[in-house]
Amino acid sequence: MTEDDILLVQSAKRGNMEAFSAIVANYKDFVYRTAYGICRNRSDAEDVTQDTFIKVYQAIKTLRDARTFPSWIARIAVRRALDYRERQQNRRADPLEDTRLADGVIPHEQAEVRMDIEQAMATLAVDHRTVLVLRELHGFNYEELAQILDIPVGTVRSRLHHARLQLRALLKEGGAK
Amino acid sequence: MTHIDISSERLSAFLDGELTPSDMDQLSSHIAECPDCQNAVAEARRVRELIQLSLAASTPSSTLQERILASVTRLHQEAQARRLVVMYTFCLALVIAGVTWMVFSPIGRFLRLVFRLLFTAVDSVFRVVASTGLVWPSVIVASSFILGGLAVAAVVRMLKSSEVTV
Repeated sequence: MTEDDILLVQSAKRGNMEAFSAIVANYKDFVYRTAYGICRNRSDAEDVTQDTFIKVYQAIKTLRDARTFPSWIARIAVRRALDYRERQQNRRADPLEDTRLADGVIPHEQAEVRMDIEQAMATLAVDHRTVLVLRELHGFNYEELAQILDIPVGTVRSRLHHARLQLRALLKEGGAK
Repeated sequence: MTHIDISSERLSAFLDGELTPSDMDQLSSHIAECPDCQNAVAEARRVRELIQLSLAASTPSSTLQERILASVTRLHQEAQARRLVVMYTFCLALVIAGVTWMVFSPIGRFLRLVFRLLFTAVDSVFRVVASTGLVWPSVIVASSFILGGLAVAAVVRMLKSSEVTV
């Protein structure tokens, strides 16, 4: 987190709407990717992102230390995503063709590999997928993950390990086919 | 030093840098000399890179930011409106309480007496002026003084606001 971000958060805590708008611009991708990693559905991920920022706006005054903002917003995003997912139990993951890709052309081979990863990720249990998304996307350490998810560090380690093991097995299976 | 089993939790923790410093050093030294373990680590790292690429590739629609800001702005305005209503209601309650207190308290009775004295004094002045038959000239003179005073005050204020502060 940069010094500018810390100042923005402190300003937003005092009710400055311009600072809050800047926070939205800086963190919307962060929140969206976290939500998408859990929900596996673009429209749901966008709804969760919107809900998350509304919650952030309502609760930002309760944030004690501006430096913990990334893990704090991640915690809110994860909880919103898991709640949303529970309410939308029967919703399927997006087909890969509908998923918006980042700028730049992805070669055909890499797109196939990405498809394999996407399908494998969708197969993981939501608990395992959540901890994997937070670790690989945002680089939170085990302590931070334990705080965000409200679980012991040992459980974080175990879930990460099993998620990676399962992914490796699924990718090998996909490669073999 | 035993090989790292690719299915071991230890490998996962090693890749995440979450082992103790002594364990990290020990493992790193072993991996530097063991081709099998190097392959295991390389494979695990490759899978991790694929996961990171896949997660980082998804982007939201271009309208998401606007929608978020519209919702938050609406909430902000509603919160401000609620604060204003509470403030005005509080001030109104304060004024009503103040007036009620003034009317019924000894100080209120004293103030009512003062107002009655002032009213009587003004009424007496009008009666004296009326008895001389100079009501309208008196009204014109008094109005001129009041308007003149207001004009002078406005000009002074205008001159003050046009001063450049260095």
